[in-house]
Amino acid sequence: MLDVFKIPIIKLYDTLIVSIQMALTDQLVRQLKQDITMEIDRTDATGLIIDLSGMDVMDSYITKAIRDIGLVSRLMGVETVLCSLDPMIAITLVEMDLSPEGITTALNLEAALDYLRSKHVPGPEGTSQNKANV
Amino acid sequence: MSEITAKAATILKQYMSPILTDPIMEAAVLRSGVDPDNIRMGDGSRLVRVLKQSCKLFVRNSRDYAKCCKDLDVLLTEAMAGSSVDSTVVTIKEERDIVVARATGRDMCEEIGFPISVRIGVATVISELARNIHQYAKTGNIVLSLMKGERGGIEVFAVDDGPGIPFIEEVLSGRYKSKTGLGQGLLVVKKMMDEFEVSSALGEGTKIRVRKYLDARR
Repeated sequence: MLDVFKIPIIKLYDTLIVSIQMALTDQLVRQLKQDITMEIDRTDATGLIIDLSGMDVMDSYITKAIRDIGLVSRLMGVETVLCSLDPMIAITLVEMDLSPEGITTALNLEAALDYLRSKHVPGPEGTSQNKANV
Repeated sequence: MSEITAKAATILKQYMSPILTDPIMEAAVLRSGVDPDNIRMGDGSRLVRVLKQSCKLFVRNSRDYAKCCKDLDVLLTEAMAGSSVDSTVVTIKEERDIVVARATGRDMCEEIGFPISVRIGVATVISELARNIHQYAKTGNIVLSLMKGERGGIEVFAVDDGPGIPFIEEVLSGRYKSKTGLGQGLLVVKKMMDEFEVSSALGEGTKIRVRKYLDARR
């Protein structure tokens, strides 16, 4: 059952939203990494939001995997914002020197969407003008 | 000498010549196969049973012997309520066992009263250790034990028969950076826990024992 399960990727205008609501296995992380890059390639997304509110634990492997997703997405011209990190997980991450450096974070989903919208002003045809990353 | 053996020796001293108590204690510890610094479930009762047999010859009379046995039983009950250990073994065979292991550890931390930040830290540590087993040794065990009593806390013992860690010193000093991230995981574990013990050599598997105490700095 677990092997066929996929984490859904939702497209909202120019943004892809991934909400992780379960204890991640490594298999799911690998699958997610692949799915996101393929989805970025397929759609015209300019932003990616990973909602971490459902994470039980973030160990070095998961943190690295999520950071990798962010870095791969940036290479593809998509900015990643992590959001809704549990306060206690945030404390633990810092204590263990595991914070995902170089990836933008936001308090919650709204803040993440606002941030991405402020970065990418829609063009006259409503499509994204700015695909470059700062 | 650990708490329980020290207390048992004090009891024995009331009933027999003090010169005898230490050798009797030592013999009982050896015969019962109990590690006095690390009393696990069932160890206390085994130790007391052996002690009763050993001291029978040396106690002055049968009335004293009965009293001595009763005192040892009281000590055992106290020890079971106080410093006994509840443990669970999670066998790591596939990826999802990692999730099972850390969830179990998190529950045990909650039972014993760790604040939530520590619970997540310990769960992270268990996740790292279980992942190492899965990644490098394929199979192994995570033994989670609650340490009750004076210094309560949780112990995580990760054991496998895998290939072992060749540069363990370098890994722990942070000089060694593997491509797979093993070094980082172990450093996280070391940083998070109060006690960290590792024994590993090429071809001999890996044993990692870590402990987190309730009364520790955080």
